Amino acid sequence: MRPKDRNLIIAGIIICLVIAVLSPFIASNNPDGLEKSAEQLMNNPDTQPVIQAPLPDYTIEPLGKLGKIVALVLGILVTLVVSYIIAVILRRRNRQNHQ
Amino acid sequence: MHIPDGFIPLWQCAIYYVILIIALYFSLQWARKNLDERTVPLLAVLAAGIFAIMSVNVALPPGISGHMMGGALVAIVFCAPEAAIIIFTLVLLVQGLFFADGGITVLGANVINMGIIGGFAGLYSFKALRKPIGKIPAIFIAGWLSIFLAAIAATLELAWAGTFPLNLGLITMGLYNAIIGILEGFLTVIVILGLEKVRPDLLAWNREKKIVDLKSESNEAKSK
Repeated sequence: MRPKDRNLIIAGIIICLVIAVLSPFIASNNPDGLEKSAEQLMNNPDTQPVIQAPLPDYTIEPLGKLGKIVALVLGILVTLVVSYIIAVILRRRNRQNHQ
Repeated sequence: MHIPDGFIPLWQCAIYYVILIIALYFSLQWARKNLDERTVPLLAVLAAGIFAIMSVNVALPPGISGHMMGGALVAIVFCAPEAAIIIFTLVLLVQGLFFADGGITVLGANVINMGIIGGFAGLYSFKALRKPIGKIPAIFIAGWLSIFLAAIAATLELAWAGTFPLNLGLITMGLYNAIIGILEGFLTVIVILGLEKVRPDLLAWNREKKIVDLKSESNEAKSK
């Protein structure tokens, strides 16, 4: 990996971590557009997810705001690593095609 | 904007999954041709960034909140809605599997709204408007439109599912997301301008320009 691209990943991780640390303190608890519409238009807008997610709503219950930060950091790292691996696999296929 | 499990009957979810699989087929074709050592890290960083920014809900009138979605952003940066389709499939999978945000049954519908419709609306409105009204207003409108049209698509899906009434759904979803879209527009402009300042080579439009317009660009520079 070229240094320029390594720096992009490092800078990206730093920005994401800053967002993760600030997010629990600055994010609004208001419903988003779809949740608000559901409240207004549906009798029973509360539905259950089909699979049990390990960290529902980005929370680790006993840890409060720290738990939210940890959950977000985990999510960011999982997303980064999974996307990177998938992108590398797609690129490898690309290289083979050219040979 | 994330439709949760239970809002759409399973047989309709299956139809959206089929559409998603077809879209992913074309997106993987695109990825094979276009991903290189420079764009692989960019794709991963944008996916992580979108996951992070989606957690920052900004309070907006009237008593709602909205977060940046990033569909227009990804499609414009890569000059390809296919990139948005791949990134949203990955991000929404992580959100649904680990954090119960969105859902696994509705993954197809959510990727269609945010990735496919958001990505196409964002990129092609930007391309159409860039020359007549300038780069920055074009990016803003692309961001706004990506949210607004994604919300309209979600409303149509929910109306077909019998979950929302069509007319009232279009009014509330349209209104709320027209407001959230303003936030999306601003943030899309900020991120793209920031990226262009630090790493102009990462923006696909600059890369295409280098090959196609190199001569005309240097001529312009001389005449200035």
